[in-house]
Amino acid sequence: MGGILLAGPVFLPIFTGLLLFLLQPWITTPRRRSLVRGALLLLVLGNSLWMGALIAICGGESPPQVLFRLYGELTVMFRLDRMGSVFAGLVSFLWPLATLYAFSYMEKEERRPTFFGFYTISFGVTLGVALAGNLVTMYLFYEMLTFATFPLVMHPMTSEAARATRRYLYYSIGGAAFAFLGLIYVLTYSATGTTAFVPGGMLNAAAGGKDLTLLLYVLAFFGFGVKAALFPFHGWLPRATVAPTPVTALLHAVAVVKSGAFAVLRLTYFSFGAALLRGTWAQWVVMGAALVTIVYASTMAVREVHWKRRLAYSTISNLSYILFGASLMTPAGLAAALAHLIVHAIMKICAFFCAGAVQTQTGKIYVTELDGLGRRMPATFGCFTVAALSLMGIPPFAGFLSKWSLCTAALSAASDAGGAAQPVVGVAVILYSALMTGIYMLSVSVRAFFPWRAAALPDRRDPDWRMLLPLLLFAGLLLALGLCGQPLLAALAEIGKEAG
Amino acid sequence: MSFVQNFPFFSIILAMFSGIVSSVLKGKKARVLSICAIGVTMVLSAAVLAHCVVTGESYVYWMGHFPAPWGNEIRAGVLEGLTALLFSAIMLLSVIGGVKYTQTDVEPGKQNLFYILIDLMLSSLLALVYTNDLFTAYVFVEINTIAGCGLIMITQTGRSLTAAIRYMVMSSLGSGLFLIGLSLLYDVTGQLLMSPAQEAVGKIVESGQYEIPLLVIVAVGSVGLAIKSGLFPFHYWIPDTYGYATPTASAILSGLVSKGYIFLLIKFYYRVLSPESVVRSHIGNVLFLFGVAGMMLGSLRAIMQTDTRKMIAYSSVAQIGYIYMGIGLGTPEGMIAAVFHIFSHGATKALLFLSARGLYRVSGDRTDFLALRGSGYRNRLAGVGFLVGSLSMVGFPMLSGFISKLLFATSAMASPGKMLTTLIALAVSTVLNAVYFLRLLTGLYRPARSGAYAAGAGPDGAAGGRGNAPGFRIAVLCLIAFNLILGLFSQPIVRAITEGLAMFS
Amino acid sequence: MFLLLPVFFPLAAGAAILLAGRRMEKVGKSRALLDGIFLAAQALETGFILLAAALGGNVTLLSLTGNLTMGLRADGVGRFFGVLTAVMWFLTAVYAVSYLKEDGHAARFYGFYLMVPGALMGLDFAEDLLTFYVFFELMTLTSLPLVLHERTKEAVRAGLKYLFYSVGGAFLALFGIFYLAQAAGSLTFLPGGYFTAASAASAPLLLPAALCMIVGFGAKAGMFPLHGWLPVAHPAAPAPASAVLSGVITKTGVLAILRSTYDLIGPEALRGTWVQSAWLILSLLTVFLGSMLAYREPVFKKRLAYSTVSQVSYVLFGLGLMDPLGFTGALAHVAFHSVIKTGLFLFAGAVIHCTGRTRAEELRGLGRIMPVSLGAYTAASLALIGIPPASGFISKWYLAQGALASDTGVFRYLGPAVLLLSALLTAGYLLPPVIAGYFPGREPEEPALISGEKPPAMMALPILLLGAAAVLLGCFPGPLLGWISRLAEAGIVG
Repeated sequence: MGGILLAGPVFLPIFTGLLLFLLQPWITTPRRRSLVRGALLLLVLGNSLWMGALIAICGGESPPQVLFRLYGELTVMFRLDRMGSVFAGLVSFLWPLATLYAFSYMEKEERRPTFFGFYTISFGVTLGVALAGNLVTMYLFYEMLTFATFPLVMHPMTSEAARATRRYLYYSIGGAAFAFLGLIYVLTYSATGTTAFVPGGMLNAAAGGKDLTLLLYVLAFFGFGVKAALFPFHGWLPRATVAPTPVTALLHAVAVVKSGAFAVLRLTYFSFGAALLRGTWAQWVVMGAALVTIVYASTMAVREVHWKRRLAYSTISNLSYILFGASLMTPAGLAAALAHLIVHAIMKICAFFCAGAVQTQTGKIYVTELDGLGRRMPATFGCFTVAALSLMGIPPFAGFLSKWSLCTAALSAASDAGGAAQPVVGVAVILYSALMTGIYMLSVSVRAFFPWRAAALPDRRDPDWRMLLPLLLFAGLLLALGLCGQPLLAALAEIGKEAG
Repeated sequence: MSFVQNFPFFSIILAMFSGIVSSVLKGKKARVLSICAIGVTMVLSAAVLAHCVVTGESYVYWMGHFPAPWGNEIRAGVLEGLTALLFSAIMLLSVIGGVKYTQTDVEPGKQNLFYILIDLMLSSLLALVYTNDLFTAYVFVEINTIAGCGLIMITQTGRSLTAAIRYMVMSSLGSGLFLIGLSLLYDVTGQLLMSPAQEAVGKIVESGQYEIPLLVIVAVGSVGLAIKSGLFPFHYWIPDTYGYATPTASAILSGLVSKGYIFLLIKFYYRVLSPESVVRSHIGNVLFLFGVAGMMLGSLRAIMQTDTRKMIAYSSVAQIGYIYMGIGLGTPEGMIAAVFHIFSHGATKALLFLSARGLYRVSGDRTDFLALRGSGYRNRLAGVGFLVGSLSMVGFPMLSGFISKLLFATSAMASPGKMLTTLIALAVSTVLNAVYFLRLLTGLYRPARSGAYAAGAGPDGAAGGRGNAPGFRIAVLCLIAFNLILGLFSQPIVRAITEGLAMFS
Repeated sequence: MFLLLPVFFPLAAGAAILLAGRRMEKVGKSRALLDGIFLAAQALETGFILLAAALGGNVTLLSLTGNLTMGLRADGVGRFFGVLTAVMWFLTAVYAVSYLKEDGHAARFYGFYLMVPGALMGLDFAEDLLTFYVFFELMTLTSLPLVLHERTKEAVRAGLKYLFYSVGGAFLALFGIFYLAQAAGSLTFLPGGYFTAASAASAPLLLPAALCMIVGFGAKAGMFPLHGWLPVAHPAAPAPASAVLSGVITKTGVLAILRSTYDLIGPEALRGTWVQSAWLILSLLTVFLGSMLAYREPVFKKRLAYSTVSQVSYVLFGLGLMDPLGFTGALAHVAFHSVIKTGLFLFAGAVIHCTGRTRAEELRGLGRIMPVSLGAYTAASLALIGIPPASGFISKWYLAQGALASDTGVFRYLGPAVLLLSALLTAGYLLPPVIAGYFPGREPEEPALISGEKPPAMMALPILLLGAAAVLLGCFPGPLLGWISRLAEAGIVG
């Protein structure tokens, strides 16, 4: 298969976005606007189908395709492997729906072409992260993602947005700077001489000195972890909620943050190698950081009354579930991390879209203002409740599956490591977090459906179909996945087995 | 001896003569002459580079065909050719890009003086690059200083005058120390030409004599040149100097002049002393330390600025720190990284100074962050230029800054003792760079407060990018392309640097 | 396949009432229709449960992950709890129709009230702990709206407290589930459990996991230290909801602990360990604490709720003994307490409904308004105190016997002592309304005599039935005890 086929889904959205900037002066009439809108949706959808077809045709495995050479052994190379397929498939599934939602959400906003331009570019860049065949390419797209998405955070152009953007940039660039060190280290001591991903890692373990290797792993873990909002580098995420909801929902609950988590997985299982790290102090350090994040963020979420910020804190804690899975350094850990990566994406985007729908319909952004709205917007809050239950890990919703995988993986890791206490603590932390999740999510639902303050309810309805369709789809999917998630878990377990 | 071998000599003389001729020309003609001279120099340097690459060896050229020790020796190799080419290219772009601002910033009667100084600057830089004679080097160092002072002063504002005086004092101190080093060297070896001096030094080292004088020579020479290139903690002259000159002058001073001294220092290490003896003297460790400190403190100071000119100037302090860090690693790889960063930073800084000036133009000639709000929309080209420059500084992949960072990092991996410090310093410095550059960048693309400026129009009535002079456009576009080339096709350049450094010893 | 019916029929019927019932709850005639549909559905559900309990069966629902299947199976203990639930639920439903006559949101109450037994059947008939857990959570969520029903600030607070304690407890227990799935390799219930005293030693976290499950599931049963929600949530709900919450739903916590300790871990592995001691200490502490707090509580429904806290821990104490006699006593107390407490709460509801009084000391002269109901209350109270021949005596007798027969060291004597003390306190908090109700006295400084209308027949009847049952079950305990002791044999020996 030609390289262009593989690179297509990455570059098509990028060029589409750039084209949109050029078209900006031309879009003046409503007719043209709807034309552009339709074309954009078709392109995004087509791109997703392209990606889907690629995954289906090569069955998640393709030969590497070198695009060009940055320097020396640093090549920009795409390769579709099974783990990449998981992330690419997830992103391709969510993006068209989110675009549809965004059309409705952004109806009244200004600078729409700019917004949708960057929004579409981010699609391509995220796929670039997923398809990257080596650490360099991933790093490249990881950096590009920062720059493709910061205009979206700045979109409201208020001073709050500018502050949030700056913080986002500083954190992301700073993270990349430390991830860069890991890249250099892998490049120097790679057994294959390149940074191409190899399941099980390709680091020449003897070369660099044990403690140094571990130190650089920790640095790189935290570096990539910044995008995954690892404590203490999580501060950008709650603030970035000033962005329009489609951004917060898709980018800051899925694409951007999951890129961070995905990068950590690549770094751990495909570059350094889990076997090298298992049982070392580095493992306990990163695991500890993930656990602290979970506790901190779920507690903060309870305290937060700004709805989207609360969800953002919830994202922080859930991302660290993934990182915790990654830090188990076992095949099951990887599989569980991937499972949570998928499931959390769906439930969080669902929750955020509900918040966004309420915001556009009623203008309410604080949890305390939601009394009784559930009776006016039953579909929206119904979907939110489904997402909440799934997020808590209540069976039969999908969230339970991933939580289950995580906890069993942790317990078996503990018994494999001769009764190490850390993974068991992790399970306890996850359960604590689940309780906090119940508190911060369900209190919203209860408030919406059972208001005790008999305030006059605004005469609002559920949003139009463009918003409602993704919501219902996601909620249905959560239930379906929870009931028949078996094949998915089996596939992920295969990936884990290969790379652990 | 092929004809091409004359070119280094020709280019120095050409630059000098055009300076002399310009003194009787009007401003505009002087400008044309100057631009032509730089362009020709560029071509000549390219020819020299090509010659050296083809023949694969360096050569020594006697000015006026007098043999040493009476004559003046010039030496040309791959690295010299490359440096001369890139220096003249950057200079050309800086001059072309700043033509319009030179007209407005410099008083009409002094236009030709400005270009005389540019010509002198060029000739002295070329001489520093090519010379094989330490005393010639010293002479051109002084010429360079004088030209530099002139370039700073020429705007004739109060601050630029104090800046020039400060520059003068610091530079003289630097050249003085360098001179002391030379005298001691002459005293010990009896040589001023580089090649014989190196032999003599080699013998002395072997015999074990004069250990302390040699150490003093290394130390004094290094400190002298370090002061001149603005290494922390001798950087106090930099912010005002770069901040208040015309954009052309700023670009040249920060992008090239300080690099000329660093190039001389490298030559001093490789051609006069030997890399081994430099490493043995531990001066490398000192430079490394100060380099790292400069990276941090320069960036920290840059963060504290609210005036963009000073911010960019402080960023130079940090970047000079990078270069010294590379030199201080004491390995060939570190040196390659340092030399590459000389080019990379030269190109990037020129781009930044020029585009920043383009942004000031549409912001009522104010330079503080607040005034620059939304200027990225008012002058799109300058905005893009600044964006590319900033991203390069931050080390965004595919731009030149990334390759520098990469080279520094990989070279650090080869020197175990300094590895961790270098890596961490690089990472932290990247974060700091991001803080001040991207803070400004987000400001550039935030709409100005309502009513400050009409949408898309500068206070001078120029709308969008339409107000940009053609020269400015060409220069900014070329510099952007230059950055991309350095970022994407760096391998030949790095190979050339490696060869050139090998030819040194 | 027949087992699916009692689980999914009420869920579907409840959902249908929720969706369609809103338009019927206001107008007179259609309201009667709604009530009729509700009662019919409830009767049908009761029939299904009884039928399922009689027929038994086995059905696999789905496989959730690789080695974890979910399924239903009606075993002895499940049937016991199922029958109990069916009877209580139906009686209370009859009462509820009358109680909610004036309520404008009855459809919502009916809908969720119908859904809960579906979840309850799911967990009663669960084949494995995972299925159990799924329905356990579902039960929490469907019963939550019952607590929230009044929509006062107090009710919402209580509802949230109920939710968070339940969910928190469930997650604590989930830790144990995770661990058992790992260590035992299966979560399917196996009488006698997967571990013996020997094999337990090789699973280092087994005992902590067991404690997590006991404490976590104990939240639902109102066991100390996670009992805080119960005295708040039960009184906040409408009386029929309080009745089933106290009478039936608290028992699911008991069932959960029973399932995880007797049918998964195995009594062998726990007997004589520190976990058993902790379990006994916690339950005895709760017994005493609950009675003490009930004694000091002036609000009638709250007093009954505290009483529930205390009484359910009798059951837990019995289970913790790991002894056939104790086990028999525990299950008997499940049945008796369920009958008694449902009756007491329904009575309290009737008092509120007819007179509007909520505090225990305001009930002076109640005997003149509702003499029969008060009689039933008296009977139930005596049964709860444990006065022979009423039912409570039987179960307490077995509990005490079990304690003495077990080899649990100091608890052999401490247990019966605490039970006795608690019985005294029970008399102290339940009997004053009886005395003041029948013998109001004539002192002028006393508050005015209570006044109000008589309770309607549909209210009085369930109370009467339950009161009678509380006594009669004690007089003729033979069949019930026979059934339970067979269960106990199976449960302990495996």
